[in-house]
Amino acid sequence: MPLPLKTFAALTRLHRKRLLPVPGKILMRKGQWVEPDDVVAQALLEPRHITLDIALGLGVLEDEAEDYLQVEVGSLVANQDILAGPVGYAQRVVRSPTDGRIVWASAGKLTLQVSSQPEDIKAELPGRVIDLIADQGVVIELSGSLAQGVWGNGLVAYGKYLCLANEPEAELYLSPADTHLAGSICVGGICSQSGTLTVAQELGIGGLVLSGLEAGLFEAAARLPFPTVVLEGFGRYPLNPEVHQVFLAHSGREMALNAKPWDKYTGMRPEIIIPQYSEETTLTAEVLGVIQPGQKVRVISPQVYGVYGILIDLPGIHKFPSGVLGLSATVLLENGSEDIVPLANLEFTG
Amino acid sequence: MDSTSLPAESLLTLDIGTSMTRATLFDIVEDQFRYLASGAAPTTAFPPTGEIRRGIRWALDELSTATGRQFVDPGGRLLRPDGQSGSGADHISATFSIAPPVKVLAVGLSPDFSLASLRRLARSIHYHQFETLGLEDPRKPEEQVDAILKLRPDLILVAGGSDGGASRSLLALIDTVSLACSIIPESSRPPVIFAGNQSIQSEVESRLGRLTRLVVAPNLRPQENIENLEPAMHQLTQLYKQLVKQRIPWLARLDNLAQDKMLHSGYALGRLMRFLSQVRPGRNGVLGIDLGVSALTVAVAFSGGLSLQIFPEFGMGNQLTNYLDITSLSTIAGWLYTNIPPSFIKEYLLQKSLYPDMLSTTSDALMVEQALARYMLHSGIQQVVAGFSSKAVFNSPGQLPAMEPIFVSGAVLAKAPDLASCLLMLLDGLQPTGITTFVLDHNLIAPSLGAAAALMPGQVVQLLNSDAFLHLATVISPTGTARPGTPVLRVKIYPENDQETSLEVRQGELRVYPVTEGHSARLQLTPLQEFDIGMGNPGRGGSLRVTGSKFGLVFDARGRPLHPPGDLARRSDQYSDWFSMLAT
Repeated sequence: MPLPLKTFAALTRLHRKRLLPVPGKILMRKGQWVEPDDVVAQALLEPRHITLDIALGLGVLEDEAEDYLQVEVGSLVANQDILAGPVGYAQRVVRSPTDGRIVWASAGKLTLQVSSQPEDIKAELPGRVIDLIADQGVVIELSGSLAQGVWGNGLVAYGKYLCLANEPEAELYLSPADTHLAGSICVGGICSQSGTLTVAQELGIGGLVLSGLEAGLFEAAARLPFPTVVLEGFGRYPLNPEVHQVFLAHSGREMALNAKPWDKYTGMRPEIIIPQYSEETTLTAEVLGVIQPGQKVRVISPQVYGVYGILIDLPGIHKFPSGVLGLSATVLLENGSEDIVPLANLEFTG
Repeated sequence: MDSTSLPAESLLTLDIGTSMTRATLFDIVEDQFRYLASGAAPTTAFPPTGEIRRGIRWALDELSTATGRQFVDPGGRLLRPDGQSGSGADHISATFSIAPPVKVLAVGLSPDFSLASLRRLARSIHYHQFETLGLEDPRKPEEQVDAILKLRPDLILVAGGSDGGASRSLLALIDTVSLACSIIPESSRPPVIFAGNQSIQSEVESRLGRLTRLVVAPNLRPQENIENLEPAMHQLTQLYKQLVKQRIPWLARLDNLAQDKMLHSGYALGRLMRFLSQVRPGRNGVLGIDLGVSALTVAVAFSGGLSLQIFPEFGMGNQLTNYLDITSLSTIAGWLYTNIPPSFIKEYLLQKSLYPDMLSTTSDALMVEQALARYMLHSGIQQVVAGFSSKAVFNSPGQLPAMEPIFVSGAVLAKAPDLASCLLMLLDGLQPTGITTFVLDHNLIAPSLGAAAALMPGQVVQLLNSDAFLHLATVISPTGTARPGTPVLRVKIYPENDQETSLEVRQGELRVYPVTEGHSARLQLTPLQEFDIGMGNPGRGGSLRVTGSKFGLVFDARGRPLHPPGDLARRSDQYSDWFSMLAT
């Protein structure tokens, strides 16, 4: 039986897809190196249309209008191009009011898709394009440190980061005097003060990584104009010590901060990647955490939420203090104590 | 149905839930079709596994451990019975409630009629986004086209006009849909269900039939004041199944195993309620409730007619972040019987939205979970009450009409640490009126049986009367107006093989009289103060035979609607009294 998977890897090889929501154009070749700001694919996400009444414009009947059309479905037209006509003594014509493409012609009417700037999909991280997915996007490969989180506010960024947490349990405090943080992604520990988020905005930081966020600050964090990721949970949860070590070791380097929400259908979690250019790393195996003693787990029960430990036994059905019955696991926690927790309240970390 | 005529055939049901996959075995034991055991494992439809097969295999392994039977061969193929080893099962039925995001566009004429009917129709599937395009839409047709292209709907539902009525306005809207469909790449065009004015069927087919898959269903409103959702509901659930199968390809193979009869769990629960209303016809409706992680399902059947409403917003999982505002937190806190700070409630909602299967191990977390369940049940019932069938008998305006029985399913109810707190959640959340019985689906098998009901109706009838379901209580809820403490119902109880007893139920109280399982009793009920107990008119009483259950008879005279005291100390005292009453 598997457990949910929350991945941390100090150094690994990763594949990340960059996909368009609608069919579009891929701008990269297989094997090409990309930088975070490179546009890998484009599509018209929100096309705009104009319908022109050709019959009315020409002064003819609906079913006669087709005979005067100068364009057909699929034709590209420029502003002021003649679309239909001329008709009659006055040589009446209908001209295109804008650049575009004819997408529909019927019952004396033409529909024109107005030319507009396509939306870009960027690489968002540095790496090599190892695969193209027809009309949809690319797969990028890179090496680096990976830490996945539980919540993100939907934004993405790439840039230099600074680890401000000296200890895994550190609380994040920012001062208006910390002007050197402007534009940087800040890795803090716990955030429990709304003032910290306000100062972060005023300083113009480039992103925020937190171990724990006080539940009362959820809405404020969701509205922040820069990407924000919560790694462990809502409350006073410290950083995983191993993750903290990696953040400290690479502080000052660049980080890909993806704060898109956890999507169980695609399996994507909010995540942090610190690129490291290594040819020898192995690909992160998309393994399942099969329950067995010796496995590293993270407890998601209230009271011990976010605590890491090692699964040491599976004693079966257990009655918990609330009276609820459930399949249980004995976990040796980081502090050396043992606790019996529901299997449903464990998360595999690998 | 005569049980002796039932063939000795076994049934294996597979339910692919949002978080758990469940395999359940039913078979003939001592001439009775019985529930034998279930095995459960996390659903593996999504990354990193990305295929449901593994979760099914693990659930079957658990079932094998529990029953000693083998269900798969070493190659992972499902075994068919060979008559000797006892392996495999004769029939397989399948249900699913995993719900990839689905966007629905409803196209109709008026917000109060066709669009309202379309919204109720769409509630029979698990949609994530619902947008409308109607006659009152102020946008130009090309702007409407742009809006459709921006939405990128997965399904388009069209209705409007009574049969033979006006058609021009609806056809103009269909032209807009047609134009949008023609611009969308062919491989991405959404299927369309047309359930409007049947006299324009051929015109609709000529406009849409060549562009996309068009399903024509009977008019939702053949006449202005008649709503007939059920035929279109069947078509919609079939189309929805196709859509989900495209997104989760392994479900297609499961559907093959189930001989193309796999059903969405919500619809399967509805089918079970409809089946029940046919085999036990009565004046009252049959109500099915499933409070799950992904949605609250409310299925009501009256004499074979089904109304089904699925509310993802009232699920106990990912949607909980919608309730973090002060008003929602305060309303949820109003259902708490202990002092728990709003910050804890908020933290709990956030964690539960991330990990919906998390068990509440502390009493505070459990209290919040149960308060949330009350809130979700109550919110869902309030939404459906207005749309109940005209056959519904309302004992109290705006409250749940007379239902018999009420079937309840869902982990938060079935896995409650004690039955008293389960029943209190139901009484507080649903607030039944009149006389009803509560049946708990403690094995979480109701949707599976709904899927199997057409295949094995006799067997399902036997199961409904067996200990596969837990008969919680017969609940009598008198409604009316009186001061607290005023006698509102006089009851004479004539237990089978026991002394006659009399009791008086007072306004504001919750009372229990045990009639244990396997026993029965006759009741003589006399409402006082013109209270209504659902026997025809206010003040009208009568006699009633009840069968035993876990709690026996429960008299809930706490008032409708129920107003728990605003003061927490008083609320807590009252809850202790009610809980003690049920727990003893």
